[in-house]
Amino acid sequence: MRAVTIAILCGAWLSCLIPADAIADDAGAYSTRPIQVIVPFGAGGNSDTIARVLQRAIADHQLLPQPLVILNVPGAGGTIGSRRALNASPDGDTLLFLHEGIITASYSGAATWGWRDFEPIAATGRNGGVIAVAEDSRFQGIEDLLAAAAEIPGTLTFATNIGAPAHFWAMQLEDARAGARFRYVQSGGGAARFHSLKGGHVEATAFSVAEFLSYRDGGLRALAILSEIRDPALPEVPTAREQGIEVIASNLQCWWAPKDTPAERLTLIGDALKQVMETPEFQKFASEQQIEPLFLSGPELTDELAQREAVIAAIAPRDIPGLPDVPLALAILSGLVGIGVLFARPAPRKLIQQGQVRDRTLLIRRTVTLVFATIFYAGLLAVSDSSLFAFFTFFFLTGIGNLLMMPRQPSWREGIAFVGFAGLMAYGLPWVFETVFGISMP
Amino acid sequence: MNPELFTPEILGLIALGTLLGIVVGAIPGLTGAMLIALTLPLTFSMNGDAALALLVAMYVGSVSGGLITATLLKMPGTPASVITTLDGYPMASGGRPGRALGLGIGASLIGGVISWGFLVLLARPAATWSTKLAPFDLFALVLVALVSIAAISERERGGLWRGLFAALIGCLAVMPGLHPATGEPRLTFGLVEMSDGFKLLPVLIGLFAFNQIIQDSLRPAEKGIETPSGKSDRIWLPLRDWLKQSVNLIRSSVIGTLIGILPGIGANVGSTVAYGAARSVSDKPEKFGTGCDEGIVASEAANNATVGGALIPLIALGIPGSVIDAVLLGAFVIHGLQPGPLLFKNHPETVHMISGSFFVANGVMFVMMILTARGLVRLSRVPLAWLAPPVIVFCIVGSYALANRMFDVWVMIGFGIFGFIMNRLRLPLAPFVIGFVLAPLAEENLSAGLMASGGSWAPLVTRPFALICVLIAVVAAGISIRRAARMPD
Repeated sequence: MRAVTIAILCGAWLSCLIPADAIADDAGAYSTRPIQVIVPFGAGGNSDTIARVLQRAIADHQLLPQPLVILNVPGAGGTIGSRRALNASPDGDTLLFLHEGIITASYSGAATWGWRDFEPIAATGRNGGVIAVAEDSRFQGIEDLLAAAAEIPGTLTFATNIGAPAHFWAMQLEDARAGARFRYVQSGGGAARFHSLKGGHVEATAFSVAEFLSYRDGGLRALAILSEIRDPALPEVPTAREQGIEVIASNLQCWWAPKDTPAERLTLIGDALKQVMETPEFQKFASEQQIEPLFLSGPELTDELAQREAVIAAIAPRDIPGLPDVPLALAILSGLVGIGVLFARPAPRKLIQQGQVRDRTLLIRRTVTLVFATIFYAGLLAVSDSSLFAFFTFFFLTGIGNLLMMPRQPSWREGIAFVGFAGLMAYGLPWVFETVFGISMP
Repeated sequence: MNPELFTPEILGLIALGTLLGIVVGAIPGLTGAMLIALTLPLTFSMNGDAALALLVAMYVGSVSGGLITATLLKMPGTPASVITTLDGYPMASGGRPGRALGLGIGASLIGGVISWGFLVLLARPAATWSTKLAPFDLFALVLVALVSIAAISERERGGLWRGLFAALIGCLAVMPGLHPATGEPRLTFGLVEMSDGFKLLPVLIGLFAFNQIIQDSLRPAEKGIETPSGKSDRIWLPLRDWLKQSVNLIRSSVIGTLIGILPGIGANVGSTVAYGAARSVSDKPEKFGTGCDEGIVASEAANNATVGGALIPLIALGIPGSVIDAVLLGAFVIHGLQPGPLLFKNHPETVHMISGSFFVANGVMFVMMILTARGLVRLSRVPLAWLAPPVIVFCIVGSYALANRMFDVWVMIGFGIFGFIMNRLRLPLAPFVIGFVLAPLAEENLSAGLMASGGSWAPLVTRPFALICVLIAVVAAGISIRRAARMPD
């Protein structure tokens, strides 16, 4: 009854075409389409939390005609996500929420694009920086620390996250005190830097104020805060300036749009962001998270960014000497061991363990078709609009399952049952994924 | 705002996870690693603790479920229960399927509970102690782990070389991306998408889910094995039978736990070693393999004990003990949790949730298996037509959902095909994955160590802990090379 199955499938596929087209047309209209905000870090991180608080408050107060949707595109220090925003069409439907990492990435070589390749919309907050040591450290102030770093340059160990703002803060400190040179030790994120400090493997490191507050009870002491004035959460910690070190550094949280996005869209979103920062929800969140609720937009913001860029550009990242070429070493080693494997005469596993010759060709044929169908299916998803997901999935499920994998020709009943199952999966999955699990579909 | 363990929501998730784990464990074409890798993307929007409770329950269920088909059909549902077939199937086909299942299920529970005890006792001290480890110490520790994977690989001629080779290409496969210390892109072949390298989740989904479907598709439909139909004997065994096994239970569980702690060595090795130990101390070793109680108990107590053992280095140091632990490590990272001492300080509720859900899942597993064991056998006959297409769709959506980009889907498909080729060449997958997970850890620590020492390798031999690790690695490598050389053709 293979013909029967094909007939059922053709009918079902044709009926699918109609709603799919209707959806595709509908999505073209601007007024109903949500604005996608790319957060180039994982869900649950600092940037993601801020973006989601702002998104919720904008929705609650109906500050924008369309809803904002957060899309997490993590990876490579934020450059994977910023690249996607860079290439998005400049219609105001795609925005980027990224802090100063956008400037540091272009100066550390991680990205070939910089902040000038985007339209800055607004800055919605600032995180201060803290220089910290272990509780029992010999250093009492920032001047102490820098004097030691200048005494024998390049021996005082400083845990850092190379390319990230914390790294540039430390380099600003070096610039402020003649002759001071730290020995940078790559540790990674805040938790990793805390470990290095706590375990006594490095002598100093930099944290954001929020990070410092969450680790303080673990046995840390702040030497200086890198803001203009003392932080209300850490009133006992003097600023670097008070101690005679002229360094002001912080991390600015910014909203960006692709280059050439119409100015009226930028103003609309900028105004919404300005209003949302005055809501009690955001004020409460900002004070809990130690974010300074600073709002900047327009020329003010551009000036501030240019100023920050100038500071970062003035500090040239130094090469890190003496690191082995691990990939090369591994390639050589695996080449040698590979020769060992050849000598041990590996007998390739039989493709099919048991079964008749007729079975064998059939199984190989269906497996090859399965793999190619999967590649084809993924290819379709990659080039198509997301509203077609259910349609392609149905196509795939019925095709692979019913035509390829059924051990024998299915009966009418089995065919209908399977098509029903495939339809349920294809149209149920997007609903389950998007509404229940909050995952956006390809 | 973190959920408590004893709420309907969490207990429901644990029950669901255990059940799903048992089901995939019982179906020969599906594995626990596949289930957990495919479930992880679904937990993105969940609370991290709830997600971990669900995944740990799946882990427990999947290691246990394999014993059903291993015992009744001589088809191990998971590699962990291969050894169980040796005595389980003869006993079941000899007319006592209930007793065989009862022994396996009970031993699984006790193995799990004993290893839970170790988890609760050891995890915190291990985590506290780990802060004292300098980058070079950690590098040396990872080196020991890498050598031990290769040393334990397949016990056949050339197994050592193939294990080592698989581990090395696993290390190589993770090299593209950003340099761990300087942050510069390397080996990206000019593709910007590659600057983040290959992520663990799509690689795992490819190797363990998509590859598995390809393998299953090549396997002819099983026929001819019938469920043994002896007189219906009871699954529930009298206490006196268990007392007779008490020494065996404790020994096998301790062996399983210790082997679980060693990185890269899965549950199947735990059960093999425990089975060997039980046979060598037995006064009737000739009974092993003919359907004796001791064999089933040793195998099943040990394979469940490896689960708790493997969670210890995962929570304390962030070093995964098995393939499934590598997925769990991914779950930690995705939910913004960093395993290690800070987890005990900043998120004690997460640690309690993991150990608590591990304990509860073992209990739930016991009850569910006792009630459903006989019925679950039928599941092993679900045709591929109903399984393969949805699994592939899940593979694609799951890989995409990780970072909302199609690139990861292509990585998943590529590694699926790659895994298939590895399998054909008899290259084991587990060392590959462990190499893939451990290489960045090794390189980060080596770089940090070299940066702190100003480029000197001396701390590797001047720091006592690092020196001990290096010596262990050298000795272990020497022993396994000698054993490999002596092995007959």
